[in-house]
Amino acid sequence: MSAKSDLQIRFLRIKNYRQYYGEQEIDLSKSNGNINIIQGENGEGKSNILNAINYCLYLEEPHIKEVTPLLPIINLRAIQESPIGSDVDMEIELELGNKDNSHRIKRTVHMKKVELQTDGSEKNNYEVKRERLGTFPVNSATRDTFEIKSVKRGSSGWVINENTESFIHEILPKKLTSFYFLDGEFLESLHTNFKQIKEGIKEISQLSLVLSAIEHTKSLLKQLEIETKGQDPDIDRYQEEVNRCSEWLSSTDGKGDIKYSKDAIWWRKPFDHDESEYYPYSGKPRLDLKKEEEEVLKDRIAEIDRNLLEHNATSIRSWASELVRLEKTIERDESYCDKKSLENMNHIAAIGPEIYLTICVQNFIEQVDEKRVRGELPVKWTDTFVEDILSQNRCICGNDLTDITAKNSLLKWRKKSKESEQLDVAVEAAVNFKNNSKKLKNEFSKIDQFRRDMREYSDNLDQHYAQSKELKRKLKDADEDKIKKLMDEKETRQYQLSYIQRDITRLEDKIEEYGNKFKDAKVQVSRAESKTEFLKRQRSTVSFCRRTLEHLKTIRDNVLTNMRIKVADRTRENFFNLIWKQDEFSNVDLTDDYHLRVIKNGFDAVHTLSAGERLVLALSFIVAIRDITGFRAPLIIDTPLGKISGKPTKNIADFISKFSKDVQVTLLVTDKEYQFMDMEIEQSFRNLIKEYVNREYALNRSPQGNTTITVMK
Amino acid sequence: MSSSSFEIKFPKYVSYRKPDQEFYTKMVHQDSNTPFSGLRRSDVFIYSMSLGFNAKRKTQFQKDEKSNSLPARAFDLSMRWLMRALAASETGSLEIILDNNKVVEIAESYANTGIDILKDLYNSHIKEDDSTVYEEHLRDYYDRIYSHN
Repeated sequence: MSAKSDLQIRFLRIKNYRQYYGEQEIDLSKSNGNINIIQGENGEGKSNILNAINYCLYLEEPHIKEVTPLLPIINLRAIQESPIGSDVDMEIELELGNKDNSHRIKRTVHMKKVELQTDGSEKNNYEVKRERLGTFPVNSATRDTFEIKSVKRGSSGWVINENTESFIHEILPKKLTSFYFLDGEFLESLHTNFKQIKEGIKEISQLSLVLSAIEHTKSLLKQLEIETKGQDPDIDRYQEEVNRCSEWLSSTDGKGDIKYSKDAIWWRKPFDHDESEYYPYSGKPRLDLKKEEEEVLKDRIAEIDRNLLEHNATSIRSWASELVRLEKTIERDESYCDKKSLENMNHIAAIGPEIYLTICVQNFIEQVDEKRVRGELPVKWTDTFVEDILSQNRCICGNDLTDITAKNSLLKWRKKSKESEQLDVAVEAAVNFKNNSKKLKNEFSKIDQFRRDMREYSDNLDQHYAQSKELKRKLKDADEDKIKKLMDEKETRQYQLSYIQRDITRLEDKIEEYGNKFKDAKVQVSRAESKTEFLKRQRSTVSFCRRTLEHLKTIRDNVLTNMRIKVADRTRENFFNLIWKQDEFSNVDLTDDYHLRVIKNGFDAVHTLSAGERLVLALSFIVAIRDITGFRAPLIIDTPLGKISGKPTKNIADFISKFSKDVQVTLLVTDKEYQFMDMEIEQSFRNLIKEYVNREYALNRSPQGNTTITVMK
Repeated sequence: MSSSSFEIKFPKYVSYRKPDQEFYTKMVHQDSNTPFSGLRRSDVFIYSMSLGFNAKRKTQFQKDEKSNSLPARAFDLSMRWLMRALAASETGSLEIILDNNKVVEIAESYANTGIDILKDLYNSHIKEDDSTVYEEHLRDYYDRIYSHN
C-alpha cells in the first residue's frame, strides 16, 4: 500500500494507556463523510489520543503535557488493581489502510508489579523513573514489544511483517508527522517555526540519497585526516583548527552534525530556562533557534499591541496607538543614530593613519619630487626619450652618437634607469597623497558637524522617550488589572527582544569570524599537504573528496531551493483561496531562511495576523506540502479552532469540508469549539460541517480521573 | 610597470603577534564601539602602524610570535602605499618600495608597537566609558602638526 493511495485510520484500540482505563475502541472507518469528531474538555485526554497514535507508531508522545511524564504510561488504576507479582499490560493498536488493504500495528508495554520498597528514609527511594514510560516502583520489570501484522481483505489471516520500522516509514514518515498529526499550538506558531518548515521541505525533497552521500563523504574525509595525522605537525595543527571551526559552525547553522542535532528544549519560553538545558549537546547557541525566539517575542509583542488597540475604552485605544507610533519612531531614530555614530567612528579609522603619517607622507612626496626634478622620474618617459635619441644617432646637446663610446655610455645609463622603472608607480601615489592631504584639513569640521546633528537628534529622541514613558504610565495607571499586566509583559518582552537581537548580531559576527578562520586554516592545510609524496597523494584524494562534497552540497541546496519555491507557490495559492480578506494581502512568501512571510502594504505582516489568519496560513502551508508529495495520510487536528470565532470559523469549516473529500480528517475538539452557536455567523461549527461528518465520539472523565470514550448522542 | 603587476609581488600575508590576535578580533567586532567596529583587522593593523611610527618605536617579533594572519587581499592600494611611504621615510630611500618584503617587515615592526598604544586607548575608553578617546588623540596630534605647518 502506498502512502499516496487512500490511507485512513480505521480504528484505534487503547488499553490502560494513561487516563484510558481498560479497553476502549474508536471506529473511524468510513461510512458517510470523511470527518471524524472526538470531543472532550481540556484535560479529558484529547491530546493523548494523538500521543497514543504517535507512541504506537514512533514510540514518542510529542503532545505530552508537562505534568504527565511523571505518571507511568500504564493507567494508574490498572496498576493499583493488579495484585503484587502479576502482569499489567498497556496496549495501543491501530488499523491503517482502507477497505481493501489494511495493516494492524500494535504496541504493548508489559509490567511486572512488585511491592513498593519504602524504608521511609528517603522520598525517592521507592520509585524510579523509566525513560519514556514514566515512574514505576523500584524493581518492577517493564518492557515494551512491538508487533505489526498485515492483511488483505479476503485472505485467510494476519501475516507478521518482519520489517516494521521501514514499513511505518514508508506509509507515514516520522519526519512528516508534524504535518498530519497537528495540534493547535503547532498551527498557531508554525509561521515562526523555521526548523519545522525547513525539515518538512527537506523531507519531501527526497534527498535521503544525497544526504547520506554527504555524510559518507564527510566520514571518508575524516578517515583520510586520521591517516595523515602524525605525518606533519603543521598539518595536524591546522587540521585541528579546521575541525574546531567546522564543529562550531555546525552547531550554529541550524543543520548541525548528529552530535548537535538534539532540539533545544525551551525555545518557546525565552529566558525561563537554565542555559545548560538550552542547547543540550554543544553548549553553544544555534542561530536558527535564536531567530525563532526572536520571532516568538515579536509575535507576542504584536499580540499585546493588538489587545490594547482593540480595547473597549477609547482612551486606552488612543494611548496605545500613540505609543505604537512613538515606538516605531524611536526604533527608526535609534537605528539612524547608531548607523551615523558607526559611520563617524569608522571615519576616524579611515583618516587616522594618513594624519598620523603626515610627516612620512610629506617625506615620501619630497623624495618623489626630488627625483622628478632630477629627471629620474617618470622612468618610462626617460626611456622613450633615450630611444628617440639613439634612433637619430644624435644627442640633444649636438654630440654625434655614432661614436661608440658616447653610445655605450648612453646605453649603460639607460639600462640603469630601466632597473628602477617600477618607481613610476610612485609618481601616481605621490599625486594621490597630495590630493588627500588637502582634503584632510576639512575632515575634523565634518566630524564637528556630525556631532551637532547628533545632538539635535538625541534631543528629539529624549523627547520621544519622555512621551512614551508618560503614555506607558497612563496605560499602567488605567483602572484595569489586565492592561497593567499586558504593559508589564510588553516591557519584559521588549527587553528580552533587544537582548536576543544583540545575541543574534554577536552570533552572526562570530559565524563570520569562524568562517574566515576556517577558510584560512584550510588554505594552510593544503599548503602543508603538498610537502611530501605521501601527503601529495593524500591531498589529491582529499581534494577529490572535497570537490565531491561541494558538488553534493550544491545539489542538495539546489533541490531544496526548488522545493522551497514550489511550496511557496502552492502556499500562496492556497492562502488566497482560503483567506476572507484577499485585498488586504499582496503576497505570501517563503524566504531562503524558511521564514514564512505575508505581505501587507509592502511589509511583512506575519506578526500582526489574527489567530484565524495564522491558522489559514499554517493550513495553506501544510496542504501545499501534502499536495506536492501527493501524500494522502490522514489528518488529525487537535483543537483546530482554539482562538477562532466569527466568519473565519465558517471559512475554516468550508476548507476542512472540501479537504475531507480526498483525505480522512479527525478533529479533536472541545464542546465549546464544536457545538456552541457562534453569534456572529449564527451557527455552530458542528452545523457547518454536519454533512461531511462520519462519526462523533465524546470523552468522559470520571471523578477518579479516568476517561472513557462513547459514541456522541 | 603597471600598478597591478607591481602589486603581484606584495607578500601573501602580513603578520602581527599571536598574543594580539584576540585584541584585533575584539576591535573589529560589530559591538566594539571603537573606530574599527565592523571593519577588517587590516584596518586595525594600518592604524597601529601609524601610531607606532608616530611614537618612533619599532618592535620586532620574538621567536614563534609571528602569525601569518592577514592575507594580502585585505590590504587595498591606499593601505599598501601608506606602508611604502612609511618605509621610504624610514630608510630615506624611495627604492625601498621595490622590496615589498622589506616594506611589510618595517610596517609590521611599527604595528607591533602601535597595537600597544591602541590597547592603552581602548583601556581608557572602557575605563572612562568614553569612545571619543580615539578622536581626541587624533585631534591632538592633528592640532600639533598643523599648528607647526
